[in-house]
Amino acid sequence: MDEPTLPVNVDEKILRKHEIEANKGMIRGCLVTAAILVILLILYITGVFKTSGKALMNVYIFFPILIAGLVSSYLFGKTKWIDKAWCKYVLISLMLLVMFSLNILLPKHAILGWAICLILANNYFNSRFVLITYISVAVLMFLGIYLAMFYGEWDANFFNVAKEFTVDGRVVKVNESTAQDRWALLAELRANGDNRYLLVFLYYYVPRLLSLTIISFICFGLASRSFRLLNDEISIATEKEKMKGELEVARAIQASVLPRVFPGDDKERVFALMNPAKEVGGDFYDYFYTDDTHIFFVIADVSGKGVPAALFMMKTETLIKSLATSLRTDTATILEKANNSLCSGNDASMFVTCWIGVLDTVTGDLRYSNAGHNDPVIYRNGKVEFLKGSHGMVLGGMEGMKYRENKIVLNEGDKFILYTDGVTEAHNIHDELFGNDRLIEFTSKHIESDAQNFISSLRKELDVFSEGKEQFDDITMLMVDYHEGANIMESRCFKADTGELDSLFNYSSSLLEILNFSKRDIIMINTALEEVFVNVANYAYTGDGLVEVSLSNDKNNITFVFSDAGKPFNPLERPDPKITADSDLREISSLGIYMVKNIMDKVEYRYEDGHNILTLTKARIS
Amino acid sequence: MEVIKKNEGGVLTAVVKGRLDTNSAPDLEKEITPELSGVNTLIFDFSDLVYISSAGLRIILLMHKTMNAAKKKFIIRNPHAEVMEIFEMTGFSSFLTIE
Repeated sequence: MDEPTLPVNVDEKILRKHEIEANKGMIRGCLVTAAILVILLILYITGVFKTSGKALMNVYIFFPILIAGLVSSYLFGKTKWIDKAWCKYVLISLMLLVMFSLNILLPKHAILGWAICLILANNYFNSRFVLITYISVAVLMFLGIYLAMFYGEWDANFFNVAKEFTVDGRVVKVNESTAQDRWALLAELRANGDNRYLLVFLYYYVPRLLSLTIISFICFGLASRSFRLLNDEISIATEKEKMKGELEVARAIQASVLPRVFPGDDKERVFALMNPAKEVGGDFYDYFYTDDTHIFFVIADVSGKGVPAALFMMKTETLIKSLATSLRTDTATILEKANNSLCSGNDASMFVTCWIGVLDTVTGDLRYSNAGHNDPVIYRNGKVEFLKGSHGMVLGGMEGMKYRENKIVLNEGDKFILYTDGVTEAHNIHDELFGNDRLIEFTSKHIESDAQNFISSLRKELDVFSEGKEQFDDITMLMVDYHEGANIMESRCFKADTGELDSLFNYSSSLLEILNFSKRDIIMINTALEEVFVNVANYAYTGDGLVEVSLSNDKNNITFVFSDAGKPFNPLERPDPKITADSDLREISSLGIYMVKNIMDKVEYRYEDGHNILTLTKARIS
Repeated sequence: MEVIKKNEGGVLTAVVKGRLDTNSAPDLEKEITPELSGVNTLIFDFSDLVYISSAGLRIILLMHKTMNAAKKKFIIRNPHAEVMEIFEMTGFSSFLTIE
């Protein structure tokens, strides 16, 4: 509003911040001026400085007023007005007023003071403001000099007489001359053909104005150049911020393709964790059912880190998942086909190490193939060891490579741990590696923990080991605890926005139909899902965010898990509403959760790893 | 959601079809509120309403209060079993007139 000349791309907030800083600079200028006036006043009082003419008395009266005015700007700066756009006009007016008074009182000495106003105005990086100040200075200096001729300290530049002059037949000492005396003197001089007004204008005002014009041109240039620099700085900062935001989105997308919620009926069976070294990483893991009884696992590590690795990771992840679900063939063939696809058009010469396995949940058969990846750790028959198998070439390295499938049979209670070299090659400050031996040792010690606890304590162990050395590589790990009958179905990410409700309904309805839920149950469950989803959409995030909804089932229950990275909030802590006709409409907000609790058989909340996790369980036979 | 309104001699009948959820509930409020002046009986016909969530309940409570305060009638007609179940679960059936 106040700066129509500004280009629109300047960030209003940053500009405002600079303006407040300039206001503070202006106030500092006022205080320094006040201090100088105090010193001058003392010098006048002690008689070190003398004034000629009636101005002497005026110095004693006006200096304290000016000092008070200048100091009051300090108090002004403490108010909330400091960040107002008009604040700078108030401050510059104060400064101009002070210089104007000084110009009248002490024309000889104060004339340079006008430059201070221009230089201070320059602080605002606003050439229009400098221009306004310059025009004000020109006008006020003109007036000031005119008034100074009558009311100011005697200035021999105005009247070239030494000590006294004769006017109306009286002899007047210049020290004691009044405004009337000077008026009469000027009139007399003019009558004698000596137009002092014109001379003062031409030889006094104009040269000083010219100096000030030069100064203001410099200020003008400085202000616009500073403004451009500021503008550049802002656009760089904005660009950087945008880049960061985009990386954040990339990270969210990347995280969303990895299953993060790990449902189970009474015990966590699969738990995984991925900590990229940068915003986006090149590691990934995934697991999904290829049919009712087979779970497919994959863990992989793309060469390099950051954005290129993440892009290649996304490509590999999609490729392997589609091969695994469409082919249903042996793991060696999946790797072979994946390798050939990744090799073609791999101009960046990236590659990926990868371990894939298929677990038959009924028989315990685990078939797996390895493309240059670390051997998983397995716990079988009471022993912790590496799960050896034949190693093939890394994917993306060379076309036409062959892989071999290995097979073992797991028994109830057996476990295996998939990980990337971020685990074994974690460094500490002495440049030691965590290494295979430590991994086996740690696993042996903690093998009794459930999957989730195992993974989080291994992560902590790595932190302790690295002794604060920065994480160098992505760290990804996944533990599988083999039981019969666990059944993970599907997981999907939605934008936390009520506009996504229909997609949520489509997703849940289709799954519930497959599971033979009645029409009534589907309606009821959808109602509960809406209430939870809307709650997340409305309250979890201040900006955009994601909510992951996963569905799992076993023979007794169906479980929905909502997970969001929004602010921690336990909806179950709200008291149940009292719904009567008289009750307040506000109670309605807790009604939704009340309905969820009624529709579902079990509702649990936990906050974990920066995520709100709400688990809804419903018995399959109600 | 779809609303068909009919105003006959101070009786406003709104046939609400489809789903009354977070996204459609505000539309129902917008449809009904401007029509209420001069209405002495408001009827929500729920014969074709298949789904209601708390956002829909909020509108019903709002209508109930508005009509009650003006000493006018508010009637819910023919709700589906699932919608009725929600009314019962939330205690709405205790104060609503349901036919």
